[in-house]
Amino acid sequence: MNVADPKEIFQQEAQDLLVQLENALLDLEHTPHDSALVDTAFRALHTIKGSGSMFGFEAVAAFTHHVETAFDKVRQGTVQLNRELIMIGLRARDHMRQLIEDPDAADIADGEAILAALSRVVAVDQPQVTVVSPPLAPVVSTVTWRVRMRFPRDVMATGTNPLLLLDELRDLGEAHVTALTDDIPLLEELDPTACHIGWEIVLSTSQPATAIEDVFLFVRDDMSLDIERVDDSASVGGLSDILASLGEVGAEAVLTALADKAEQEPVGEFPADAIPAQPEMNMPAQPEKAAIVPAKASAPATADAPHQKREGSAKASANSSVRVPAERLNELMDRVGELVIAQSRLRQIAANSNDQQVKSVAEEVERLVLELRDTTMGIRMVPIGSLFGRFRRVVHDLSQDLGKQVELTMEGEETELDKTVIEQLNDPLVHLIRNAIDHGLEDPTGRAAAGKSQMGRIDLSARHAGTEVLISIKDDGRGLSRERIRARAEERGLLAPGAVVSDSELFQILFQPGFSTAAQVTSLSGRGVGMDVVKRTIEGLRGTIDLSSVAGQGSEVTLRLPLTLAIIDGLLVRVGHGSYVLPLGAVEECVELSEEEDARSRGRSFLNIRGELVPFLRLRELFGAKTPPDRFQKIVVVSSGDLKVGLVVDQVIGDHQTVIKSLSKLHADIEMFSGATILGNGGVALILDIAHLVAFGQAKEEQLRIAQ
Amino acid sequence: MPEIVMPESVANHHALVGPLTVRTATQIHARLLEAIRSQPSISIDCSAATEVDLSFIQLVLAARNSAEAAGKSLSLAAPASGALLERLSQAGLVGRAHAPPVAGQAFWLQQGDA
Repeated sequence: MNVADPKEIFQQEAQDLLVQLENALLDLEHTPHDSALVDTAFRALHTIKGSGSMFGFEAVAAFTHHVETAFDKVRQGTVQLNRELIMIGLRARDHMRQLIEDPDAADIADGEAILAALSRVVAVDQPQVTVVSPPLAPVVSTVTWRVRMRFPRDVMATGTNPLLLLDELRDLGEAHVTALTDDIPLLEELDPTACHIGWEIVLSTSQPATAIEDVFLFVRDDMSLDIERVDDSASVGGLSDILASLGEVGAEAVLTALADKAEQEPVGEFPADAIPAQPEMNMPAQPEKAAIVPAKASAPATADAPHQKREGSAKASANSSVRVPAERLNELMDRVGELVIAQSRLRQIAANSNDQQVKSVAEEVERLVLELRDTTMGIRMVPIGSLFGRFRRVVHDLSQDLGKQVELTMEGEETELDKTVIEQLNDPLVHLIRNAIDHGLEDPTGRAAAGKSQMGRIDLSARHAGTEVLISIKDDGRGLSRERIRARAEERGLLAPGAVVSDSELFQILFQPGFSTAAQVTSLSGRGVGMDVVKRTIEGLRGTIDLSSVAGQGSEVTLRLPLTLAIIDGLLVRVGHGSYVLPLGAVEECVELSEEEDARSRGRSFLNIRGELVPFLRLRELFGAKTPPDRFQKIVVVSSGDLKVGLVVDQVIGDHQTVIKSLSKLHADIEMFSGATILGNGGVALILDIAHLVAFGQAKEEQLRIAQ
Repeated sequence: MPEIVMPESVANHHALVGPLTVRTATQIHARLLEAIRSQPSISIDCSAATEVDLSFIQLVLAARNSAEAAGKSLSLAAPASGALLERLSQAGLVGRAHAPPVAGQAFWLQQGDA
């Protein structure tokens, strides 16, 4: 990421901001009077607008500007925040996302519709202002802040005019601007384009501290900004003393200037240490060390000091993490993987050696490598909360569409999972949540009839269990109806009538493609498409799904996922000259294929394992191996779900810690393999995609059956 | 690029013309350095400046530091006016109209000894 594309950086940052915006809007739905949330939403909009236009996303900037204006009105209390405005805000957020991600695909008419709705809401709300706002508006109080700041050195070179920012501060209220010129070096040492002047401003404003920070929005990260609340009960006398002590200004002059405002508002007081300690000067005489200018203006809003603190701590925690391109992490993981491989070779050599020193070094290296592997895998871990956060919106929209009140609770958001796993979990989880709300939860009348509260519950939780992560989606709806599933399954011939099956077996039928018990197909679900996809995705992640349900009390779907996809335990086999890895978790057993059986099964590739017919695939044929087959061929029986397939291989070599490498794009359409790995001897082995092989084997069996 | 006019008769009088901004700061910097090196007292005339920004103010302050350190004197040829005055008051270096004066503004406004 040496030369990062600024557009990409903007897009990334905008993503984060859009998430902030969405969360703030969703929270506002519950607490519409939380001014901190309004501020958050506003700031996100403001930053998107500002950096959008900076990076050439003009459409984003133009669109966001209107939304920002609307929220600014909310912030200032001239417009009431209501449900409709939040809904429009959410729609606007979606539109902004589209404009940012793919400006060409964005629907302009859509954007216009949103803006039209927005201006309607803001305009309609206007008359209420005089009626509703005043009693609700918090008591406006003026607080005095002392703002001390130094701009980044290159502030002028990057096109920011510090003077204009000072003017913006003046717009917030009564400001006394003091220039700190002590850091200006001798002309000889001066970098003429760098900013060496700092400022100290005493600002009496009714705006919150965040408004002050907002002024410095675009330089905030690099500058030093110190906002401090000054005792606001100070008297005019106090201020004049300070002003007088700061420079050669007569106390009377100050008093005259302040006299007219003395009655209306208290003015801030400088603490004794208002002027920072003077650094050693090169010259004895320095006529002005500081200067003060009063300026005036004021605007109504709330003052809240705690908010500033919260901002500060949030910033601190944001700074403690580093944004790293996924590519680099993958590279690191690759290196560690190779190290693991090299280490396993070292271990072999050491085991065959008599040299004690080599053995002890090999042990030491082994320990370090394993630790390094764990640490590296830890870096890839992301708290699942980032994923859970997105579902708030899903639940919000669904409950609107379906007219069901839903409360979403989340637990274990801090549970960490490999980033690639988290990304792939999004769609299945969305699907499961939709199912839970659409099918699981009853409508309000149904709930009332069942004696439940109006508000349906969806509990989303994640927790660690050994090397797995359990994610569960639980609802308190009507639960799964065994009778209906059963009836439906028998109707479709998936279950023999009267067969005795356990609950979990019965529920597994739900994951069959095309299976649905819904009497009514809605736009959301009920078509029977989806659960099988969910299952396949989860299995692709080497995870499993469990379903449990109590009639009338709700159901729970539990996903079990491995912590990482980067390293698996594999079984190394040989076919012809090639080595292949089978995920050990999928391997059921290994049996020998006797010559007689081999000859007998030439026509139909079936194997009788304890009375069960298992189709098998000759990998030699599949991979076109030219070498003569081994005399004693082996069959590795693998399973995916309930299906089994035997794979005929030349040799079973043994277990192998497999560091998974993805295949190049060139090989991406080869479905037989899910990846590759490097062996201890430096060779390459392909990793077989079991789910695909099993499906392939089963399909082949089907064909043979039809052919007969 | 600011055109620097130096009449023969008043060698220490430096008239700075045109935009005096961060874009021209490097040239002004060189010009002022040369002036301080070669002349005992420097008078800067920026009454013909079309545009002024913070970088220029900073340059003058730094030049004055240097001049004083070298035992020389540096002053404005005329009290600050126009764009310069506006910037100075924005920066809090000169008091606004009807506001109390500011320490050090004497240098810029040529009030008494600067």
